[in-house]
Amino acid sequence: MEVIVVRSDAVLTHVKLSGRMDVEGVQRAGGAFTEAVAGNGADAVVDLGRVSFMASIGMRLLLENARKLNAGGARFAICCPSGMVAESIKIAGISAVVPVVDSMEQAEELFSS
Amino acid sequence: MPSIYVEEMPRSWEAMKEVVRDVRAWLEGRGISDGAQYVAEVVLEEMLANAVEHGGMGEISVSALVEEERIELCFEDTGPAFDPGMKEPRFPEKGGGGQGGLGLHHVRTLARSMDYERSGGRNVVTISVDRWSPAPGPGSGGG
Repeated sequence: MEVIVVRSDAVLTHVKLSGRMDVEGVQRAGGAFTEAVAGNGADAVVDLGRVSFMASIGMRLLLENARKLNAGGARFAICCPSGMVAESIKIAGISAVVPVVDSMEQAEELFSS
Repeated sequence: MPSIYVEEMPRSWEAMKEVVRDVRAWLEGRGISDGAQYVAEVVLEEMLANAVEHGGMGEISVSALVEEERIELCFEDTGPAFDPGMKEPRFPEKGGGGQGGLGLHHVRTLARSMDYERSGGRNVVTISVDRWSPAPGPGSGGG
């Protein structure tokens, strides 16, 4: 799992993740992800378009960050999951508690509403 | 039928990650579909993580067998008995108390079948995955 911070300011955090969100990936890069997202405290969009594998430890990382942001009044959205990763998120029920969008434009629209 | 057996994996994250890597690599050479590979990796990851996290002391054994139509993964450990029943994960946002059960729910939903028995003080879980499971196309979003 790799964490790329595209934007981080008082208005928005935009992070792109790639690789495997499994025990190995989350133990290695989960801290950097949380620092970038919950640590910044702004509304956040996490792009999963290049994530190839999602285990429950990865889902918990996303949920924990969403909860931290929501507790501080900020919003959290997942963007662009595809294939089996999208299927995993859907069947686990994550998409029922965290907004899932198909593009950055949709995320910006969601946050401006 | 081709098979792989890992006996007495120590209950540690490092050992778990090594076994996941080994079994994944072994499955990659077995001519199974991409969807089946993904589901088998979910099964491995979730079952071993569960055993390391909640299983107490003792070692874990893992085996994988590739048959004509399915992949069978078997996990044995000496941890406490557990309920493998089909429970929905519990989200505080939806009035639940945490996100317990996420891993087992993930496995049960993707796999063809999951059988559990407690035998001789051991948990024995046998999970079957369709060998030719299709992978969803790139357009299948998670909304």
